[in-house]
Amino acid sequence: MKVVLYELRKIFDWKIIATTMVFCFVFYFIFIRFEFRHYPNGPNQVFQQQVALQMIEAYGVEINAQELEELKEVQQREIQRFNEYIGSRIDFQEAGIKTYEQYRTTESELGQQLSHRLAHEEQLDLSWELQERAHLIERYETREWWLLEGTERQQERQLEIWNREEQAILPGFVLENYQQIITYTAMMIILSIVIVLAPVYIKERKNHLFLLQYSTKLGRNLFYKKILASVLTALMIITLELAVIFFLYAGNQTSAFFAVEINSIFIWGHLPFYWLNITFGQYILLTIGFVYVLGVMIALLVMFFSRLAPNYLTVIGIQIPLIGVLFGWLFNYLVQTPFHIDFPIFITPLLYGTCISICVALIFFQGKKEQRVDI
Amino acid sequence: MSEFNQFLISAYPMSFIQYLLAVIGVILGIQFLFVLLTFIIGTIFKNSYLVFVLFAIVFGSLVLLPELSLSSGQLFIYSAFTPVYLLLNLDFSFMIAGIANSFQYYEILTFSIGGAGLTVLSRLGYRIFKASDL
Repeated sequence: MKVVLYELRKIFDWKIIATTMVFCFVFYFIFIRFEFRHYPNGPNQVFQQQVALQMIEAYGVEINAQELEELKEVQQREIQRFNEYIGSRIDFQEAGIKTYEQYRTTESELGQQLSHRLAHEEQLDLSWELQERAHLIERYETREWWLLEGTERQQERQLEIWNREEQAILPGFVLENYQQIITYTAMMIILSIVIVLAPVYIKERKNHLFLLQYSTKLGRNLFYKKILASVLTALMIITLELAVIFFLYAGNQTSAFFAVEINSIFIWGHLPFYWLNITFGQYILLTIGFVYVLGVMIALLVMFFSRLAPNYLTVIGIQIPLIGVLFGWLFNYLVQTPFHIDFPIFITPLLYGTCISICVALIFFQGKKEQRVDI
Repeated sequence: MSEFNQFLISAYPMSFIQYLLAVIGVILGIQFLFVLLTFIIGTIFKNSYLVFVLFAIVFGSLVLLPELSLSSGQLFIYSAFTPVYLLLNLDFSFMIAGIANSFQYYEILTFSIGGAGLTVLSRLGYRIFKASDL
């Protein structure tokens, strides 16, 4: 245990830690800050969120046909209010706009000018709210019309969700915003683990410590202690960075949606469903778990390369293509959209299983070699 | 048409092959500026590993520079005179678009300003390197 503590003290070199912190800071400003600063992005999302929150408050996390009728009544009442407001304005009267329907479908130049002014310059909340509620109602009512896409199993899954009587109320941008945040956070965590752990063995090699270590029994057993220290470091880095990011994510105030299922027909886009029937909160916990697994995996891999590489440049050179493949090809299976309907259900567990077994196998392979390796 | 659905109009009467060669020249110039930048960081910090990470940090900071200086219009324009901005907006080079709306000789200006500044700095870095302990 004492040796592990010494190793930890060596890993936490203040120069490397300070550089990593600055690196994370820059990374956060370039990639992640946008998701906090511009959420919800634009009046469409602001009012879609507002309407969805009203719906959750009134009907719970799911909505059925009967509750939809109530929602339509609410919509009618709000349209009445809008009509009264329009009726009180002379400019709209002059343009011949008396009802919400006319306001929405007006084709005269004056009418379009007026409705554009009302929505964008005066920013009347009611007009946006009516529009977003109408979208949600329309989406619920016309869900059977949407074309089925993909393979037979994908179509089955879509039909199953569309045919549900109770539909989850989750606007798409809430989920997408979280997915962007967790993806970039995972990238930031992986890069900082790589930066902190890659020089561990190189430093010792440069200082010619290998000659001392590998001529003693104690030194030959150092490998697993170093691995333990690096995994502890990785866990610390992951916990710290996730804590900071989720502290900031709390500012997005999405907690009302945590109990809503992620398979929601109110998510627009290509194949928006998932294989698992889990809630948004469970999805967040799942991805956090994945980030931990991925971080520890990367720590093991980096330690293996650090042990083998003769100098700094080699260890960087080996890792660039690996991290590139991970970020470019594997990331949407592993962190961004795990268990998405777009790809088969077994891909995510299979990839994790393969990657974990490769990393553990490499470490044990090297650990066995340690006892009889030449210096 | 560029990535941003903007029509691009060339600032100079160039044939395609001339344009191609000019853009290759710009890329080589950017490389040269980055080499100078790396040299400066490398002379100040001895650890080659740290230099690698520091280069990434400097690159990221230069990407962020326009955003940080948004409050001032003048600074916002001058913050575009970096090799990073030139590299990330390579499809705007020699076109009347982006920064070149206000500065027709943007590429040449960037190379001369960046080259001169970085040369002076690398001279300084060389002096620090010469005076440093073993």
